Amino acid sequence: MLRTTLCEQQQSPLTVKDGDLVIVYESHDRMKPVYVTAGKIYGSKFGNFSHDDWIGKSFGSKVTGKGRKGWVHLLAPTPELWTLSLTHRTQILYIADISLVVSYLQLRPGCVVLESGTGSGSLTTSFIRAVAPEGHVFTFEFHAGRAQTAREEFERNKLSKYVTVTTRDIEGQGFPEALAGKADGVFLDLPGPWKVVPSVAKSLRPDGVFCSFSPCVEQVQKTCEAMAANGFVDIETIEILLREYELDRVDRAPLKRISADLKEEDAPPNAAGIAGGKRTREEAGLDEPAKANAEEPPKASQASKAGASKPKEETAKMVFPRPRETARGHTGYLSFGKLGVVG
Amino acid sequence: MESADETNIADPSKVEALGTASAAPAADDFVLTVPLPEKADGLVIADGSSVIIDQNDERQSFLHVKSDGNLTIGHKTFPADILIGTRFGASFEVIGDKLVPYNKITVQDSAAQRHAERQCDNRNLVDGDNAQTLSEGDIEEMQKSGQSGAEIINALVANSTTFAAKTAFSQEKYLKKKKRKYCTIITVLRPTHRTICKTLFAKSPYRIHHLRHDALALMLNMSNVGAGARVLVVETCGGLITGSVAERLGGHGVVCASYEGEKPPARDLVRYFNFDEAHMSSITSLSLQALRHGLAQAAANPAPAQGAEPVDAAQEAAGMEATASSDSAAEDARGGNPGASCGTEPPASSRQGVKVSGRIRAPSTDELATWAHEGFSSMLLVAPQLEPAAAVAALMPMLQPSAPFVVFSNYLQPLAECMQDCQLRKVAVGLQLSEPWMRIQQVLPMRTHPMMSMSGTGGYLLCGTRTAGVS
Repeated sequence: MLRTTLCEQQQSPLTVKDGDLVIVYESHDRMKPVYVTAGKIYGSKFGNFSHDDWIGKSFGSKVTGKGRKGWVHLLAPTPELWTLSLTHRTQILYIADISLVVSYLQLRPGCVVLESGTGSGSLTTSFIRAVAPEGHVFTFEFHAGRAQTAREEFERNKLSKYVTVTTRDIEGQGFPEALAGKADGVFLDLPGPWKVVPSVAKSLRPDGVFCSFSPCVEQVQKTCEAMAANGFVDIETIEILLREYELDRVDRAPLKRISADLKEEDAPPNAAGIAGGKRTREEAGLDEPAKANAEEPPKASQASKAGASKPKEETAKMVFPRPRETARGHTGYLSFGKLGVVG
Repeated sequence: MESADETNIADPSKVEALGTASAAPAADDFVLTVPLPEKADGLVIADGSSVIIDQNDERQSFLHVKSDGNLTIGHKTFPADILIGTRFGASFEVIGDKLVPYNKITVQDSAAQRHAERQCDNRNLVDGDNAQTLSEGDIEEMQKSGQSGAEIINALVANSTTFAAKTAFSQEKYLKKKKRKYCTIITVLRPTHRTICKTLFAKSPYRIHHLRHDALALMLNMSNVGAGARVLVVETCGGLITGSVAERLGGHGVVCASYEGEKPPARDLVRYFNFDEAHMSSITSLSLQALRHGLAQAAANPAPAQGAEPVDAAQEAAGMEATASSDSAAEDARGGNPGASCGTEPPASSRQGVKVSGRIRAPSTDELATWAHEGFSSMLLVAPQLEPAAAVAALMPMLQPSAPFVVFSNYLQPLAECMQDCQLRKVAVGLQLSEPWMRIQQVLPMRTHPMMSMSGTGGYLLCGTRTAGVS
C-alpha cells in the first residue's frame, strides 16, 4: 500500500497488476477497496467491470463498465483512501483526528509507537506510514478475531514488517514490560483508558507523547486526572472537526438582475452639460449589461460602450462555496500529555 | 497445591509449573522479536541546536543555542550553555539571577475535593484592592533576596485577608494567577512541524498566512507524505512546509521546494528543525520556471536507468538554477532499460548538487529525469498570493497519476474557484474543500468546559487526487 516507500517489489508502480489493491472510486461518498484478481467481476450501480480490463491500466484511470453505462476511477491506495473506504468493523477515527494524533505524537521515520485497540487498523496504517521504514508500530487488540483479521490485512497489503499485532487485554494487563521506556508515542482508544495511564507512563521515553481518544467527557476527566497523577505535563484536550463546503454554480445574469421597481428613473437633465434633451439610457450607463445583452446581439455597434462590452463574461456562472447542510458534530475528545522530564 | 483458578500470576514460577493450556495467561508473555532502532539523536540539546523556549505555558520564542550565547527571559539574561546537554522537555525556574532546574510534574488539583469538604460561596466577598497586606516593595524585596516563586506565593496567601473565605475553586484560580506572575518557569521545547507552526501562529501568523497547526497536520496526511515520497512543495511560509515535509520523509525520498520568480523566498524556518545531513540532502530547491523547463527537457530523453552514474558536481555548477543540458541528461540515461526504474533512490552520497540557498541544494539531473518520467508522488501548495486555479493547472501535469495534492489558502473563494476548475477540466477526483475547526477543553474536576476563547480560523484546505490521461 505504501507505494512510495521503497517499493522494492514493484517494477512499475504506476500500473495496475494482478493482485494489487486498488481503491475503486465511484463518487465522493462511495469508494471500495478491491484486490485485483484476473477473471473476477466488480459489480456496482455503475455497471459490471471486469478486473482483466483493469490490469495494465495506469492508476488514476477512468474505466467504463460493460455496456458503457457508467464509469469508475481506479486509485492507488493511501492510508486516507483506505480509511474512507474500508468496512467498518469498529467505529473508526477519521482524517481530522488521525492527522492531529500523528502530529502531536511527533511521529517520523524511526519512531516506535504503541496503540490499543487495533480495531479496523485505519489509524494503524497512518502510524505505519509515519514511522516506516526504520520505526515500528506495536498494536494491541483484545478481540482475537479482529486481531487476526488485522494481521492478515497488513500481510496482504505488504505492511507486516512495520507492524506487530498482538492479542492482549491492555486495560487488564497494561503494555508489555519488554516495551518499557521504548515508545516515542502511545495511543489509546479504549473504554477505560485511565486504568492504563500508569503503564503508558512506563512505556514512554521521557518527553514522549500520549494520546487518549474518548467520546465521553466523563472518560476524558478520569483520564486527565490519571495523567496529572502519573507524571504527565502539558495535558491538553482538543476537539477537531472538518467543516466541508460544496460548490453551487449560479448564473451571473439572474444574480445581477435588478427588478424594474428598484431601478433609478432616467437621470435628471444636467443644465450645464446636456444640450438638447435626455441622454439615452445606455449613454447614461444605467442599463444592466445582461439586459442589454438579452435585447441586442453581441455584435451590435454598442458593444464597445461600457455596459455591453463583454457578453460572454456576463452570462458566465459564478461559483459559490456553501457549507454542507449536515455536518459531523463530534467524534471524540483527544487528550494529550507529555511524559515529564525530570532533572 | 493451588488450583489453576487461584494461580497467582504475579509469581512466574507457579505459572510455569502448571503449564499453559488451562492456566491463566502469564502477566507478560510478550516477547520482543523486532529489532528496534537506536534512540534517535535530537532528543538532547546540542551546541548549535535550535530550541523553542516556552515561558509559563503562555509564550513561546525561538532560540539558537550557542555555548557562548545568551538566553533572554523578560529583562534578564542568562548564559545559554546551561541548556546544552539538557533533554528537550526540561524546565527551569528563574530564581534571582539563576536558572534552577524545575520539576514541572504537577501536584494534583484538589480543589474539587476541598470544595466538597467545605461548601461556601462568594456572596459576602467584596472585590477590593486592599485584600493583600504585603506591599509591592515587600514583594520586590523577596524577589531580590532570591526567594523562589513558591515562597513568595505562600507569603501572599498568608497575608491575604480574603483568601481563606474564597471557594476552593477560587483559591485554586488565585494560586494559578499568582504562579503565572511570580514564578517564571521556562520549558525547552523540541522544534517539530507542530511546535514551530504553533509558535509562529501565536507570534507572527502573517508569516505563515494564518496556517494553524491542525491545518498543517491535515495537509501532511492528505498529501500522503512518508518515507520515499517525491513531493513538490510551492510555499511562501518561510520554509515551514518544506521543513515539515522533510521531517516526515526522514531522509528518504525528496522534496522539491519550488517558487515563483527568480530568487528563492526566505527559508529560515528550515533551520529550526535541527535537520542532520540526511534530512537536508532530501531538500532541493528550483524556481518554477527552471523546473518546468528542466522537466520538459528531461522528458524528451529516455527514462533514467537504475543505478545511473552519480551526477558530476561540475556539471551541476554549470547548470545551477538553469536547465540541465540535454547532453548530460542523455549520457546519464544511456545504456539502461527505460522501464526499469522503480523509485529506489540513489544513496544520499550521490545526490550531490550545488548548494543553492544556505544549505539547500538544486536537484540533480537524475532527479529531474525521475520527476519528468514518473512525476511527483504528491504536491502541497501553500502560497495564497498565487491564484490557486492557475497554479494548480500549471503544476498538475508534474504529478504522477493518482497522486494526491493539497492547496491551502486563508481565503475560501479562490479555493472554490480552483475546485470548480478541476471539476470542469476533469483533472482530479475526490475533491474536498474543507475548513478545520478546533477547540480546546479545560478539563478539571467539577470545572470541565470548553475554553472561553478559541481560534477563529486556521485556513481552508482543498485536496484531491489527480486522474490519469490528462495532459
